[in-house]
Amino acid sequence: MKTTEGWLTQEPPNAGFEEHMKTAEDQIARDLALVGRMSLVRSTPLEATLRAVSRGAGANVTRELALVAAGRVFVSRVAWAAAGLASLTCVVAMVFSLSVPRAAGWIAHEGHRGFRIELLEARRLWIGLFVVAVALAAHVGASGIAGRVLERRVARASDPVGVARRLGRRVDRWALAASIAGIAAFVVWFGMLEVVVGRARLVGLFSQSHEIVVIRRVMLGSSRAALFATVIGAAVVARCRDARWLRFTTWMVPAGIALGVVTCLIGAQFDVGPLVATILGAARPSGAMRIALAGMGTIAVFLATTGVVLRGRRRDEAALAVEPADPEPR
Amino acid sequence: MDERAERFRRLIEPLHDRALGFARCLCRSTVEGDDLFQEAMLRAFGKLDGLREDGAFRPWLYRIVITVHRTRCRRAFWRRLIPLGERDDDEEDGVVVVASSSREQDYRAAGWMPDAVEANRRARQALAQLPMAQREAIVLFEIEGWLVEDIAALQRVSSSAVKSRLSRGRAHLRLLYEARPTLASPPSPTLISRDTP
Repeated sequence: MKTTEGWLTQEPPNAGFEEHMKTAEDQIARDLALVGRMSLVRSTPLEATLRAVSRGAGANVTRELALVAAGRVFVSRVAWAAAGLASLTCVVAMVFSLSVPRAAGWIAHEGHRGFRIELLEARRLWIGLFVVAVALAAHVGASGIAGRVLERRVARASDPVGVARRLGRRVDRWALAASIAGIAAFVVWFGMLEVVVGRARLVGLFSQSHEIVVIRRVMLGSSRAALFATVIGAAVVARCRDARWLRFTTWMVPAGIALGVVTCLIGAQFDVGPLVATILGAARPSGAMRIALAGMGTIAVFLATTGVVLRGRRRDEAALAVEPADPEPR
Repeated sequence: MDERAERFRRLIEPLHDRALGFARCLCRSTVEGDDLFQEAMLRAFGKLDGLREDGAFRPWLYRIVITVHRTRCRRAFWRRLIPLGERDDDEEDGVVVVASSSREQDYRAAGWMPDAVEANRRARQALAQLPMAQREAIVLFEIEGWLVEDIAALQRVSSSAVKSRLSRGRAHLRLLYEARPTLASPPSPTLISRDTP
């Protein structure tokens, strides 16, 4: 039976108004009843629904379509693994060049000091774009190579769909680890450059000052730890990729974004630039605060990246699981 | 595959029309409702092996319809930002006019009078403007005749939350009926005589 308690308790004790309300409510009730009855006009016949269901439930997936889906998953995974590895390599090279003075000479022609100054002050955007370009080139190159490998393997196989699936599943772990580590390392590193030395203008001019040296040391320490944690985290996610606790990926992206916003809001309260801080006496974050901000930022980026990558993997797994309707020819 | 199809047919047969009507009531247009129903049927067929008890098919199916509807509404938000497809024929300025000429002809062919067609259009316009959770509760309670406890189980909220949704939904509908000239009925003579100085 339908109850109307909630309905009646809301009415004001005005008799005329009450009567009007009742009329309106009656009309609404009548109209809703009509909607219910008229929604059945020209309803789809049951047989048509069942036919559409059987058609859409995979009965029309041919072996060619299943092969295309599995092949696409393999090529995409190899490409993302290559792009992630390229990005990770660039970031590790930059951290290494800042940590080991002699190493900068191997990376940049102008010697370690020039490269460090460019990275910290002037050409950060261009260096970031360069890393993106390298990752894109690796993605495109690896796609081509993976496509050829797939073509050769499939051409020789008696069960092409099975071969493509096996190839796709074989590179799954590496693709997951490399793409998460590569994207997260890139965002964390450039985020740290932006936050820690972002507003520290004229770093090159005062590159030997005590404050610059301290900030650089703190930043390098944090970024080395963040990189290490990112790589380890990516490896753990890749290893436990089918674990139950990783199935609920929907919360990861919003949680990562929320944590990132909080980190940025807290970071904006401090002035991290040594010159500005010295001259204006602005609030300086303590070492512990810098480490906490770095940790929160790393977790935020890692969560968001992992959520996105795992969601893509779920779609790929669904594509790999598509069963062709037509049987394999004997 | 055949066993599953047979089981699906057996379970859906008594519920088919009612579930289709429910999908149509949830959506802003009949075409959209038919599309939602088809997508829900596909998903239900795909997940049928996960249904342990046949007796629980009805709430299970309705739950799928609601889930698909919510997913589509979320998609529609992005679609509004980046319009890639064509407009629904039944849509005018964000409010769907369900009784377009072809639908009106269908209704008249089925024996419905013009005032009933108009009432249907009026109610669906108002329903389309309710928040999603309230619309689901109102449709299930007022049109489908579900109990509050069943709706609570379906929407995965408490009974008091469903009652609150119903109450707010009705108040919202009442406001819509009164506020919009196209929705409002002529005011009662009692109210006019008391309010007019």
